[in-house]
Amino acid sequence: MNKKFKKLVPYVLLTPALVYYLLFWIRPVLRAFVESVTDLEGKLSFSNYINVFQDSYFKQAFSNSIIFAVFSVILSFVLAFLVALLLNRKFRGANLLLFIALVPMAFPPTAVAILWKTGFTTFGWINNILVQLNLISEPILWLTAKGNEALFFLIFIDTWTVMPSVMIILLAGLQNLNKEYEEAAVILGASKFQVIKDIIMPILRPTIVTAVILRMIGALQVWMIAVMMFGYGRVPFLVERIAYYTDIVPMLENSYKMSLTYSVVVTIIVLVSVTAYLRANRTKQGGVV
Amino acid sequence: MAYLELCKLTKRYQKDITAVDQLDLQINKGEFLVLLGPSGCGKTTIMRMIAGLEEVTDGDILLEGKSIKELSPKDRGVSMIFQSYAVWPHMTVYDNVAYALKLRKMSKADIKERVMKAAKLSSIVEYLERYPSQLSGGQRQRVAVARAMAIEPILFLMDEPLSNLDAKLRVAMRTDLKEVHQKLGSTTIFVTHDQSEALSLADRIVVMNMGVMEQIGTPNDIYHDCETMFVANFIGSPPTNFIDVNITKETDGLYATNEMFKFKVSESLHQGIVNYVDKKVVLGVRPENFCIKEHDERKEHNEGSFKLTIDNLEPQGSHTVIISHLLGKQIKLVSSEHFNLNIKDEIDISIGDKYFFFDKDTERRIR
Amino acid sequence: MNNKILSKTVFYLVVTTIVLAILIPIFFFVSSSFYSGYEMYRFPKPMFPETKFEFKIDWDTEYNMYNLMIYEQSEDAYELLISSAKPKDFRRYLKRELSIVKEDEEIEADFAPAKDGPIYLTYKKNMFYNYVTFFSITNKAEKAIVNSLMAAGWTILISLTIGSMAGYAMARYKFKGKERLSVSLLLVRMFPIVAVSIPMLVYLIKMGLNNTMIGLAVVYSVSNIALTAWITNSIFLGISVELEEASIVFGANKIQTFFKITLPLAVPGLIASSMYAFLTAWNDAITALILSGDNPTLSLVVYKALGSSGAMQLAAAGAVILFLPALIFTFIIKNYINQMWGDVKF
Repeated sequence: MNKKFKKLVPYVLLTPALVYYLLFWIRPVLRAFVESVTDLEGKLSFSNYINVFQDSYFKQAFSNSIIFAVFSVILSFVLAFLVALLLNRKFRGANLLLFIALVPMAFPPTAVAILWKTGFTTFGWINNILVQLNLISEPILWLTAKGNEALFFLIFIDTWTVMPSVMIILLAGLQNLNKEYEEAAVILGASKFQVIKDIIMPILRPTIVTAVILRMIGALQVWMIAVMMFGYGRVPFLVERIAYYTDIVPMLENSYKMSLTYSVVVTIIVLVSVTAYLRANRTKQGGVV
Repeated sequence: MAYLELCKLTKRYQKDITAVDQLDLQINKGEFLVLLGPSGCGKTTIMRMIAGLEEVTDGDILLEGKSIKELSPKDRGVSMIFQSYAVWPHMTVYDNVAYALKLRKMSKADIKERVMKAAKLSSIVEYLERYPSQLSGGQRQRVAVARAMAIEPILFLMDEPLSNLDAKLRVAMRTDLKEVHQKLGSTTIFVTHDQSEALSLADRIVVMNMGVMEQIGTPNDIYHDCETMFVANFIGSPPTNFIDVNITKETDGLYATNEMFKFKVSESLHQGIVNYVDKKVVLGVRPENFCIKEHDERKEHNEGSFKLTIDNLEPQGSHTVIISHLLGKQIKLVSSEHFNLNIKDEIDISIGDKYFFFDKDTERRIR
Repeated sequence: MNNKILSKTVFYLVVTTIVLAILIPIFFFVSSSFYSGYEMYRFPKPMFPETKFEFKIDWDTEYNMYNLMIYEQSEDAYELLISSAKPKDFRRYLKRELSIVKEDEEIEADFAPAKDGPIYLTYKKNMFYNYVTFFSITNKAEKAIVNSLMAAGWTILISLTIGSMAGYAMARYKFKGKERLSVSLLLVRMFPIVAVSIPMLVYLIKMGLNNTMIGLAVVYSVSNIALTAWITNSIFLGISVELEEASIVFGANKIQTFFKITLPLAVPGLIASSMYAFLTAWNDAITALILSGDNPTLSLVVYKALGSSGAMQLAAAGAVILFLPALIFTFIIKNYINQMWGDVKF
């Protein structure tokens, strides 16, 4: 009796989590999928997808989201990796610097958007600093940017926020890395760059993959900063469309279906990119390092 | 002329922590030199300065008379084996060994030849295609050796390379390392805190303590001819027993005395000890250098011998460690003869003819 | 030696750049929240918000009105702000544009001597005017703070109970499908939460939980249960089974052991998990927008404040309020980063 009970313990402990996921994860996700392939009367139909694909903003939202994700991942990874390498040594004030570097991570997306809005508005503090430094004489109209200009503008200011969260993952990885791996390479003749390329990056790969995936997922879901800087529609993103159909035109007949279908599209894109990235990064050496 | 020479080599951290203090050391070509000392004694720092991993605060490192202090590690022609082996987990054994050769832009054929040669010497030929995670600790150790060997260094540095292995493997690897060294004839500096490793491997041992060299010499010198109390205590297991004695002068010579015993100091030691007449000195006797006899009530004590009670016994197979006390201090003796000893038994002890005197203040040997 | 000095200089230069790149925007963002409306649109403006303003008031005999002029330092001159005969107009203007709070009578008494010739006076600015106004204009702000806290609280409660149970089971027991379970936990963590939010709306309406914080917390907990299970798993793995066994040897039963030995040791991990849960709920806007548009959280109110009031300094004040707790919690989490990411492997 007692032994049988003992065997059951893990299952008892796991049941709540499993039930929760069945109810609040699997069920809504399946439902979203089912609803996305049925019309308003509940008949099987691809009209939702057709509507989404024909949405005048879809193409741009799709390509913007992809471009944003690609460049945001690259930019934040490169910067984060450099900073992590820099911080991964002992120097006076290292702890304080880590503390400061983490601040942007604390910012809720809403607050970040307002931070940059107060900066980039015509009479904002960025123009003000530039004038005080005599770099410009007239304020620059940042927020009139359009198209790719506006998109890259968003990528740059978003990097400010997300870089620390990438950096912190990489830093944790670097600090767990056996220092002797690097030293062995240095003694055997590797330059600083070769040590990073041949030793640190490959060994750190699991950590890098984690950091990149988390950033990728986040970047594919960007919307708030775009809406708050430029309003709806100027730089459309996939999730921005969801917010648009929920926030701005919630009463349209097919708003619900539109945002739902957009969300399925986002999910599929996220899953496909993550899987593709993981596939490309399968490590050769099996077993535990 | 010495091959590698350390001149007043000094390392300070943050201005006030001195890890290595003005060390002078000369190493001969082809020598197997062991740096031995407790953790924090500066031995690893010395090695890392020679390797170029640590900056030299003061002093110089000369290789064949030329300073290598300012050279980057790769230009020094040294190779190092690390405590954790540092065998790169993302490369096969072959790639690990070949990496440094690729950096040197050698041709593929040359690389292969060198890798095979190193692999044969360290017997890892059959693992070349495997990843480190598929190897045991001892095998990884061999990979590290092969990797270090492949660049044909002029100097081998080994930083406690055996300390992560289990006891049996450690002894086996020790023999293998010595063999490799003999085959290559390369100059080797080996850092360890394990005295038996040091004694069995070294041509010469440097005993370090708190950043300062306590003694340098052959394993025999270090064991039988200790320069300081630190060395006498650190080398040998159980360590040397220290007993306070007074030196007194009598008509027929010098005597070492205390409440328990009195014996005549051998003539050969007079030269130094004569300055200590009527002063306290420390007598150092290795555990195996006592003469031990079963106590015999009928026999009259002669002056040199004294009675001890056995507090505890630690049989070691080949010998027995006897733990007792003398003047309130624990004392350990070793007997390799098979006595039928029991705890609480009494034994008669006399000091044999091998013993040292140390100055009580400087803790240096009185010669 | 020279090389060393050079590399050190470069190093500290880079460090300084990083620090400035982070701190300068934050500094000006926070200082924007202390600007009055007048300062917000003044250009170029002083680097720091004013604490007081200097005025010149004269009496226009032709129209029988006061002219209120403000001292403009960059031009070293007074600039006309508003002309009126009624103290009420000045009171409103001073409050709205300059964050100066004065009563009509006060203004009347202060201005009266101007009839005999120009007078100069200095009024102190109410530095926290924007913060006060943020609450009074966006009338949902107070409720929103409570909402955010409640959503966070529920999220912590749900994800901690369910997640740590799963984490404990994974750390201490062997069972079938353990590997697969830990992989699927990652999958949950990677899943875009919007995909759950929209269909969940239907279920929440059915349960009567739309526009409630429990409803939001149910969605936030999806990713946080996985995260908590992950963190607690590694925490419990780190607590030696021998400690538990020792307690049992000394006569405690399994449940006593859990509460007396295991749980206290796991507290840091549980704190880290709750901080993450807090941040998920506190920072989110999109799920709140979808599921609780009529009963918004603070994040959502701040998001909407920018659109509705048009006064950026008010939105900035709201954003600072939003940012502060997140800042505190992030620094608590900082100490658990290694536990969090040190052993994450795909």
